[in-house]
Amino acid sequence: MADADSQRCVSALLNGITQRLYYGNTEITEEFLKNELYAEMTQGEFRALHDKMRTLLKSIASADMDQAQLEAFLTAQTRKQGGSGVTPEQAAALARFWKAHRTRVRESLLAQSRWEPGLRGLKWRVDLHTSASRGQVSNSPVALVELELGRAGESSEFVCLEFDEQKVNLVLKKMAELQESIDSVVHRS
Amino acid sequence: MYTLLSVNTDYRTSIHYPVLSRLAVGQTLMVNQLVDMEWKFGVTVGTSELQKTGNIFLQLKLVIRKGNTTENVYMELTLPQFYNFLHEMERAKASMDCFS
Repeated sequence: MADADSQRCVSALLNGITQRLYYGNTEITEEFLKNELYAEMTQGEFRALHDKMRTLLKSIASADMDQAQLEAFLTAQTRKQGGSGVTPEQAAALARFWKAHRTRVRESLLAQSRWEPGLRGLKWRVDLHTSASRGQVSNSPVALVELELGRAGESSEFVCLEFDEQKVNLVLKKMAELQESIDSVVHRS
Repeated sequence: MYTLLSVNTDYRTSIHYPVLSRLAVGQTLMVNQLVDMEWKFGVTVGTSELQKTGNIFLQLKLVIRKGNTTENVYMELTLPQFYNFLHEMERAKASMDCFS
């Protein structure tokens, strides 16, 4: 029973660390985790446990360990002497946790490696200018495109662009070139 | 000021209201014009947080005209985002072809 409780607390601690490190939930502080999970522990003891779990999680995530790699890694950790290793219960909790969260953590790390804003959304409409206060109107259609851009965790910015037919063709031509490049890499790999 | 005969080929594609508000209040309706588009494509092999990625990156730079100056808009797309962008531009072109 005590082991099961201990594993549950370690799992919850790992979840809390992951929320903050990888899922952008900055409300899950170290203090919050201590109060919720390890209220009886001293500050120093909890900090040591927290930092150990955090370091292990970062190592596992950085290497994107598969099952075999993780097993070897955790076995080595359980054999360490002098308190720097992990207990079998902690190792079991880590293994179960990583199995459940590996994909999502990896996706989060990949998203964090994209530093420019991403294209969150796109809308367009096509207008026909029928008259104008100045000059002739060509009666050619014009596309208005609204791009929704934003980085992870930030609010969106909107950019509105006008394309005549020539510009639409230019963009499509460039995208076709880009697609050729993608295809050449994808088919080579 | 343009009088626009707007042809919405898709009832969902109404321009984001705050954008139109900002553009329309006290101003002639003006939208930025695209001058050029540049792109960069490659594979990210590793990062400080993830040793091996093998993730495709697509960076686009749109050069847009704002009044007398130009401005660069940068974005980084995933493959699905790129294909969605391409698909929508093709749809817009098809719509324009009906009236050109």
